[in-house]
This record gives sequence, structure tokens and C-alpha cells, in this order.
Amino acid sequence: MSNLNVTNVNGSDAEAGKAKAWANLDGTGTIAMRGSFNVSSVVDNGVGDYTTNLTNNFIDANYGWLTGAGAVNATADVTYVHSTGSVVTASSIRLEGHVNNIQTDLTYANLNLLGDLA
Amino acid sequence: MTLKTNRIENLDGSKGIATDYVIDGSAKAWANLNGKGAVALRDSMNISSAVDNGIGDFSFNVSNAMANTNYSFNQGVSLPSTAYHCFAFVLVDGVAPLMTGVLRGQVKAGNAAAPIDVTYVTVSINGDLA
Repeated sequence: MSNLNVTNVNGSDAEAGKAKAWANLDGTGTIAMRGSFNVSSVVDNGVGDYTTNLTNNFIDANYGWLTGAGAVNATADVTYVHSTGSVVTASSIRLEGHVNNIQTDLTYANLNLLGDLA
Repeated sequence: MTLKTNRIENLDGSKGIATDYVIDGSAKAWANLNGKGAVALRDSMNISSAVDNGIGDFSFNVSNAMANTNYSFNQGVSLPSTAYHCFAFVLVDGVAPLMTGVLRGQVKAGNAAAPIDVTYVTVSINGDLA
């Protein structure tokens, strides 16, 4: 068998380890998604403050989220992190960009989400 | 039941992928840890336990070990307060080597020497299982 055509694959370890959503966001100026999967929209809440909304929700808010960050002219630390204003729910995740110890718009705000969908 | 195929496609055939990408591209373990107070895994996959080695110092024990220590790991963390900006869960030379069954690291800021406990420590591991 060379090709297998399916709608869902359930109950396997591979399923548990697959990213259920990911996003590559340009968070500067008018924010824009470069690429994404299972993301309906991203809201710009202010400087370095983004809410990523999911198309299909997770079963709860305990999913794994991994981040990547990039910024122009960053001479020191660049991170995309959970902070005091952040909120994680089954349907969205709000994180912040920080550069050189200042909350800042990120050129690259990347997310990878792992867990079980509802 | 084992199903062997070289390629998976959606029903109308408009999208497909070689199964190697699914197998090699899937995380083999991940965890979402509350690293403050009594540390507790919120959720995880292929992680048997998390160990609190001290302030901001955590080990993730892998249920089914990786084939070698050449695996890739990714992370996400929360900031401990508004006084901090740049934090990450990182390996620290001299603390513990990367092991096939254990990922140990510390939550550290770029400008602070001491690790700190935080509310969220998330990790994922990609590579080959043993």
C-alpha cells in the first residue's frame, strides 16, 4: 500500500505528539500571519501583546505551548513568554514579546501547541 | 494493530504527506508543568514524572526513552514578575548532561544568575525513540 486516504487518525502515539496548531506571526506594525495551522486569528492587544485564537479548541487549558521569538536590532534577550497579562484557555492563548527588558513588538512570534483537541 | 503506508492523504487527495514526516516530525514527549510551589504536571505525553531539584531547576523523566541524546527540545515559560522580561528553560553546563530518559534544565533570566520558580514551564522533545 502506498497511499492511505483518511479523515482522522485516532489513538496513536503519533497523534498525541503532533502539533495541533502552529503560527508564525509578524507582530510589528499591522500584525500579519506568515503561516499557521488551526489558528483562526491573532489579536494585537498592544505593544508586544498578542492573543492567538484557535479554530478547533483543545479539551482544556493544560496543553503544551512552545515559543520562538525574533526581533530587529535586538542586542540582548528576545523572548515570547507568558506574563502577568497572559491568559491560557482551551480556545486561545495570550503571550507577550519582550526584548532587551522591554515589552516590544516581535518580528517573529512563533507558537507550537501540543495536546488533545476537544 | 499496525498499519503500514508510505503516504497519508486527506479523503479528496488534495493534501498529503509522506509518513516519514509524520513519524519523524511528531513530538515524542511534551509536558506542561506548574513550576511554583508543589510542582505538578498539568498535562503531558510520554513523561512519567517531573522532579523539583531546587528553585527553578526541573527534571522531566521520559517514560519511553529517546534513542540517543541528539534529540531536539523546545520550551516555553512564564515570567515570575513584571521585574523580569527575558526568561527561558535552558540547559546549564555543569548541572546535568542531556540524557536519553531525562531532560533537566533551569529557568533563568538573561541578566540574573540564579534560577527562579515560575508558573509555566513547557517542553517538547523531537527525535527517535529507543
